Amino acid sequence: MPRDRRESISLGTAPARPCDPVGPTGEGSSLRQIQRAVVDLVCERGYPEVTILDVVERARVEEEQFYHYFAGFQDCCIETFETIARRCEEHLYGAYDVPGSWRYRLRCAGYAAADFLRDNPREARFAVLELRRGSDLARARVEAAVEFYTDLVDDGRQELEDPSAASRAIARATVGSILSQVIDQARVGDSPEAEQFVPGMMYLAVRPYLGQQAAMEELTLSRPQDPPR
Amino acid sequence: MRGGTGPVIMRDVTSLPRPLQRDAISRERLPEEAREEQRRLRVLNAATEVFAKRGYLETTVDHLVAAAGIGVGSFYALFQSKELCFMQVYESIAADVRDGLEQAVSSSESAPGQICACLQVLLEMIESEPIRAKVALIEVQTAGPRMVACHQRNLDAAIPLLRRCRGLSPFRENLPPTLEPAIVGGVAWLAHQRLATGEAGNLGALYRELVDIVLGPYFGEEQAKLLATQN
Repeated sequence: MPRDRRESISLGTAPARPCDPVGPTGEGSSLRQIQRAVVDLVCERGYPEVTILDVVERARVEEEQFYHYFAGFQDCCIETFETIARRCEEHLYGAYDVPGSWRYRLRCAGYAAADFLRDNPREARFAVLELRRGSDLARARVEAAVEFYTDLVDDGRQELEDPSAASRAIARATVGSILSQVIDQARVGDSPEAEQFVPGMMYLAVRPYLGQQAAMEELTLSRPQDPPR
Repeated sequence: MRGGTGPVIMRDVTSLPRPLQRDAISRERLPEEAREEQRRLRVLNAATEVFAKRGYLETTVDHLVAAAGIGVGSFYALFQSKELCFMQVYESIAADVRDGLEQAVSSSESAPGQICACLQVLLEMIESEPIRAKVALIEVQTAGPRMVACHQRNLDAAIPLLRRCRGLSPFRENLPPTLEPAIVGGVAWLAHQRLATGEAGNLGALYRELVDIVLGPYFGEEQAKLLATQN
């Protein structure tokens, strides 16, 4: 899925999902209200403590409108997560899909990710912390979505003389390291400070594919300003 | 034998045919506490299978008692709640892991050697007992904030050993401050994903890569390869 997804993001042909906030008669706005309400409530109270009635009351919509969009609470949470994940993927891939070396592109994506987390702290907490605790299906969907980011790191294998000498496990471990840091920050209601977070993560990501020297350099590099010509 | 209106003749048991004689009781009856503990462990084993198969959230007390072959009253006498049952399942697994890791640490004097030994033990345990590993690494995530916090503390117990590697690292002056929790998180995630995708059976093949993932940031790739070979 992730490679197809990247191609569709790149070509601007990513299929519209049923929950995309579109609609001529304000339909999209009630959907957004519901999704905003579920994110806020789950972050405030925890997934098990939120009901559909809580959501419709917070969103100021009728219960019928909720069921127009969603089959139930779990469905609402998962679709809301998919909306957030899609926005994040588009944001990151937009930063990654630029001219330059893999290392440079990954660094751009790293800062884009940190900026997204900083600008959307509730969505980040909802996705990486609360939803994973909520239901087995939701947890599985969140964890499947992480494979998108694993793909970006795993592209580093092409930097090796023999890409088959390393396995996807390295990229998975790197993404796991990043995810654990994001979760730690979300637990205390914070988001990672980009200028400290990204160099450390780049050190871990780059070292297995480009070696120690390149990895140490990453600790000294700052946010990319412009893509290379 | 009873017969007619005559007296009942009570026979000595030794006069009965052999198949009808009861064997002499040669074993001592276990004390009540020991029998309770055996019963608790049997229930915990059954609960482990149920939690792994159904997931923590979908498991009910009815599922647990059915698998354990006990009544609901007996269950609540042992555990008071599903959450406490899970906590004991988890703690039983965590205790075995701690024992394994303590033995691994004692097998080497150097911090890198101890880490290599710990990684081998962890991989063996996950491969040989994937059901317990699934409960301890995956199901714990949905078992409530207390269990998640407990699990995180167990993972963080690896951090002091990693910090000793930082002290030995030629790059120690420049290493990222959050390197240790990041490494722990990365290895935990990798194991989690392998279990979730049913690939735990081949985890041992990752040993050298894992050594590089854990020790490479401190010592470089070549040294990490050497450590993986030596340990």
